[in-house]
Amino acid sequence: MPLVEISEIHKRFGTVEVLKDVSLSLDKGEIVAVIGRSGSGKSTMLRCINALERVQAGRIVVDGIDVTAPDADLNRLRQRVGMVFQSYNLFPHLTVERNVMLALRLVRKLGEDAARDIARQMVAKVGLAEKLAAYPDELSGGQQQRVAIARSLAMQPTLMLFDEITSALDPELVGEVLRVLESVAQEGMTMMLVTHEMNFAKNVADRVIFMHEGRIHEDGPARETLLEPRTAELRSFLSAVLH
Amino acid sequence: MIREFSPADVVYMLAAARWTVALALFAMVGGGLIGMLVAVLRIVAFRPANWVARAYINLIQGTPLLGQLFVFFFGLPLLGIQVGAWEAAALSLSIYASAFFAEIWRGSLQSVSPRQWEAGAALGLTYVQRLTHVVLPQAVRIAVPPTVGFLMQLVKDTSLTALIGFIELTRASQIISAATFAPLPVYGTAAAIYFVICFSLSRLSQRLEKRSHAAR
Amino acid sequence: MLKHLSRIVSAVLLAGAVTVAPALAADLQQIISAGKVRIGVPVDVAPFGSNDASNQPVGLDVDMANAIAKALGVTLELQQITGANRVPYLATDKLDIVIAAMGATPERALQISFTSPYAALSSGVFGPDSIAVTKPEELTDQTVAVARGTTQDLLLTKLAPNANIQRYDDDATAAAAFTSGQAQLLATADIVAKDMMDKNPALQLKPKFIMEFSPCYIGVQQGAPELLHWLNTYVHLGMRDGSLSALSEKWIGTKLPALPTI
Repeated sequence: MPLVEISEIHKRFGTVEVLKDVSLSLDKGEIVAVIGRSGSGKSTMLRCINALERVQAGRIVVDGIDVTAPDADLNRLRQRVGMVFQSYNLFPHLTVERNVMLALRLVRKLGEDAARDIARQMVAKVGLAEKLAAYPDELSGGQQQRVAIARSLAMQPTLMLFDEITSALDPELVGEVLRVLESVAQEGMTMMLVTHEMNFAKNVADRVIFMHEGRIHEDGPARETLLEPRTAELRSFLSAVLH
Repeated sequence: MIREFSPADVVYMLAAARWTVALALFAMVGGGLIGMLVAVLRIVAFRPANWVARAYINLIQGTPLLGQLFVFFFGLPLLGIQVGAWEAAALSLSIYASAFFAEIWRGSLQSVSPRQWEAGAALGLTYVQRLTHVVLPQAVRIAVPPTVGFLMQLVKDTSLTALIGFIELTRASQIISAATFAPLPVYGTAAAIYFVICFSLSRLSQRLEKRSHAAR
Repeated sequence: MLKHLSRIVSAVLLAGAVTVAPALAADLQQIISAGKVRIGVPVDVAPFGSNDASNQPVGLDVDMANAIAKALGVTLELQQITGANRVPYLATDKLDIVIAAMGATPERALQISFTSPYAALSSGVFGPDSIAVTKPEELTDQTVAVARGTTQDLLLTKLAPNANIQRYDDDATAAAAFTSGQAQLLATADIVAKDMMDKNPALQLKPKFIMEFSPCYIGVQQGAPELLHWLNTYVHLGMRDGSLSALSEKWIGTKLPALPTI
């Protein structure tokens, strides 16, 4: 049984149809890169998976939870699905340590000490052990994004969603974040990432999905799809991003 | 008949300044409680509540405090409700402050980025947890400077209660000035006392702000 | 502006009071059975009422209030009032009597009742020799400082419609406007001008002209005919036995002339 099963979803913002009949399934341990032009619907699809956006039609099942059901337990869903955003979205009033501890305390109901242990472990894993007491505004963008990844991973999700997490970073900071992503990938985490980093997609992802005008236009093994695109749209997209 | 401005008069003014501080404190607490309620009514997802809160804010902000004091102290007795000067002053200052607090705090709450709500949601926090642990702490810090700024205004506005019989700092100064015909030193002293009160508030505000790491 | 507004608000409220409120007034019998009388006096209008060195109210009106309470045989509840709130205080039954160097006007008499006058003061316009003005009609360009709403204000407004009148909150502020040069002339009571010159001989407060001798009236709530009548009787007797004149000499420095009764 696939971990994520998306069937025929439709999503409209006002009169604009952003997702038109999208279906997709994702197996446990799979790493999928979603690419496409801005406005192609890739971020929206990601946000539908953890119900930050609700669909108008279709069905999404994640790890046995029907996300699209009206009475879906979204908080339970979101404990299993971690998400990292383009703009990091760390809590500015909390230290790095407290940022990671917050959901452990409130959602997983861990004690202060247990939560702190996990937080320190996760922050060390992304290489920021010396920044535990720092506030987000004292960190670089890349460091903030690494903390955001640690914050999500600390919840021990079964699926991680990454929404253009390097797009807001200065070029010299992209590498450190991608290295963290690679190490997460090596641990066998199921991951879905919307990205513009084609090399990263080619080398780390198992599979690439190309979205175009609200539909999945191509879907295949990463290297093959990127090196030998089947459609003219993907070809023109790739030549635009690679040059 | 005309006497000298003496140290005893300064003592009298300091004693009157206690009323100034007491009235401002009461308005801060009373206005704070009502203001929180109104701020919540202003933003909850229930239209009629929004309308009522907006009408309340517009009415209070759009009428002078002096008129409100007048209505509470001299108006209510006409309807058979007897109110003392203290009740009338406390009530109208609280209501006056509440409308301003409500708007300041609504603005502060809404100025916390929706992405913060989203980040909390993505971690599985409930709505109430997102509000109390993520959004409110940030909103409070954003709200500190405008809230303290309004409090300073309020300290000075308490002088309007002279209309309903309070001898607070301004009224005490006026009485002493009338007896000494020395308005310059009298009002100069009053200004110094007001400054001390307001300066303490601004120091408090700076302290609270220094501890903040609000969103950039 | 605010004062103006408070007047509008008070006028509206008081108009309402006349129609809405039944007779709220505590009349003579109720005052006597309650054992206390609530009297409002000014504390910012020397020599009628001001704070002494130990910040206790003293003055002609304060003495008057004490004497009235004593004559009624009840305790005195003294309330300091301002020019802006003395009429509303009476009209909303927060006071029984106001003794505040008040001049009577037909407008004020619509809201409260006045007794016969209990005191009078001579007012004038004062200033330096360099300003040659001898009667109210000659006042044109010169700025005259006066305390708002006082008998001097009422008189000056009537006698010198062309004058450039600057109204201040009280005598002290009006005097400060004069001494600082913001106003060229000062309209006030003779006694105030005399005191100011005694205190500061350098001050040039020469009488330019004397406005009429203006009487002061006691105000009571409407709907208290017995109290009004009792006060009129008290004032009448005080005129006859010379006690009101003695009070005038003590505080204003002149004997009380014969005043027409209401």
